[in-house]
Amino acid sequence: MRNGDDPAMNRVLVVLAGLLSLTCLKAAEDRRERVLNDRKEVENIGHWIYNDLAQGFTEAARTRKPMLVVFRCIP
Amino acid sequence: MDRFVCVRLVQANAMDLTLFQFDYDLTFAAFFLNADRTLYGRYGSRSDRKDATRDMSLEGFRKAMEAALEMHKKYPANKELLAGKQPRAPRFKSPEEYPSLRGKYKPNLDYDGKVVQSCMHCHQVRDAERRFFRDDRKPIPDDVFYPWPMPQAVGLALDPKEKAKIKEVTAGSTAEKAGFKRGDEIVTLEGQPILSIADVQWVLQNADEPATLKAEIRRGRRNLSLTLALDKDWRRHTDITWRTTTWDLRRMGLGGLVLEDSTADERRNAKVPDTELALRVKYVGEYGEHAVAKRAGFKVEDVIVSVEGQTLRRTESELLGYLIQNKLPGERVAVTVLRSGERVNLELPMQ
Repeated sequence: MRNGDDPAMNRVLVVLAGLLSLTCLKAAEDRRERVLNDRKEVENIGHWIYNDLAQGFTEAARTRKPMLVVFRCIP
Repeated sequence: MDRFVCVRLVQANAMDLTLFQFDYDLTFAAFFLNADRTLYGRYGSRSDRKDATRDMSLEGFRKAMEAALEMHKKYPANKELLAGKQPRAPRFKSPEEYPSLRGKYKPNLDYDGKVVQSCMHCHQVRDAERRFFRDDRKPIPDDVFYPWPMPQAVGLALDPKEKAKIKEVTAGSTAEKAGFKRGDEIVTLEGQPILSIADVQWVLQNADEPATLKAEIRRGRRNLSLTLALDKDWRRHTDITWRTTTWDLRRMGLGGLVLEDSTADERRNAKVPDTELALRVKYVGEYGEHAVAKRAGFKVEDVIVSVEGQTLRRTESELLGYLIQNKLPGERVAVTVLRSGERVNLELPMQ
């Protein structure tokens, strides 16, 4: 299987596309709401450790997986 | 998904600057790394104010992720190869240590209180770094003033759907002189394996002025070695006007003005030759230190045609560079503008 056809990889990309499009979907919300909702929504998506780098390092060391760390402003 | 441990960070508060060194004007930046903090690569590039994703794509990001997974498979046998990709010693280990940010933010967001106000934005790191020099009345180093040059600075346009594939080489550029051609793929730069445009920017960001950079490129079935020769002022060709952080540079050097090069029609009407300065005032700041130019008499639609008697054509980026790097806060600069066909002499205070 080519990596590009990997369903796991595709799920990552879908999640990232979702992260990038949150701006548009939430344009009408006030900034505070958006910040609070962003946390809930990303945590609900699953797979992401939210705003806790130390936990990420611990998990990467435990699982021996590489880390993907994304800085994304809450628009 | 389960091949990475994915971490989403939303704040610059307490950011580990010994690890996370990137273009702080971005609104999306990604790092691929090992649990022992060894960096495999970076992703995230930008060159346009409105279109934040022009230089990124899901296809390009997918390819960078795949390359990072390959690097991880070969780790630690490839650790030496990755040495050049690792962060440099920063001036400060966290943003809060910069004088202009000291005491203003706490390490964590205040989710129970004023969460928005408690968040430090990434671009504030770049602002603080520039103010570190300016407030000390020192020139801002070129790598801080013109940060994270896109490959266009050396004449290369890379395809955002690929890792580092050349889609255009500017005629007469450094890259053309080095022998780069459309369709070439940059495999390594300065010996560093390249998995994104951001990785190319990392090499450029850390290059000297002048510098000689070694590239290994893939052209068809062949690998070739090319050498990029960068001149002393190579960074100064980069456009910084799209950056959020240029707002503060405009305060320092232009008193809050936003300038735009006059069009060919405007130049013809104003009788200004193509080789001479003609920067139209597009916006005049209204408040506080951004209203300094307004208070000095500048108006929207004025056309700046002379700065200290110099009339050579410059972009807004180049004029900002000239003023801030050569003039200290408190100095006043003689500027001549065209207003309704008349020449008006004004003084622009530096901050």
